Amino acid sequence: MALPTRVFVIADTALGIRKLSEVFAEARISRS
Amino acid sequence: MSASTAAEAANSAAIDVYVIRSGAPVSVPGGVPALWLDFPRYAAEDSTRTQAFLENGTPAQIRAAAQALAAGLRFERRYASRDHAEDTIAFQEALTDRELEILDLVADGLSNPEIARRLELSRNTVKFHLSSIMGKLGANSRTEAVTEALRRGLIII
Repeated sequence: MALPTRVFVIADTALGIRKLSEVFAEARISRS
Repeated sequence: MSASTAAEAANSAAIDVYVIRSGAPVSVPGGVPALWLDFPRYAAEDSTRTQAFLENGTPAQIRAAAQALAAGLRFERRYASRDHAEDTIAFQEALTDRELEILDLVADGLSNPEIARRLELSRNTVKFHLSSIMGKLGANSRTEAVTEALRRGLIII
């Protein structure tokens, strides 16, 4: 399934950022 | 950089969807859909934004929800509710009758446009149902969804 190509992840913990980055590993991610 | 500042600094024109997991209020530029994870209480106060809420989602469910939002899924708040459950798209494990119907047609080899015509739905609606189906089944493709549905005995071909 194709992922959104541009995902902006916002999380208030490093753990949250890491987990979401893994979830969207194939997408182009910007991180807060 | 705080989450709020980061969101404001981002070029919203280059973003398909925001995925947010934050215990503190976050400011997100308008015009871009937002997927809020774990039901932050303040998130539902923004009635001007296209947003969805997902609690305890699996990675597949989070991806499916983000994809549906980025693909153009829109839903409107019926009223400014104090009950956040009213504003929630809940992903349950059980497939709905409509989802089973769509899954049957996917198993028959129909494309999204064909399914949309058959059921008199918009393509976006079919796409959304399919994303939900895949999320619930933990599938990453149509084939995987059908395979998993067969394994669970949800459909027969």
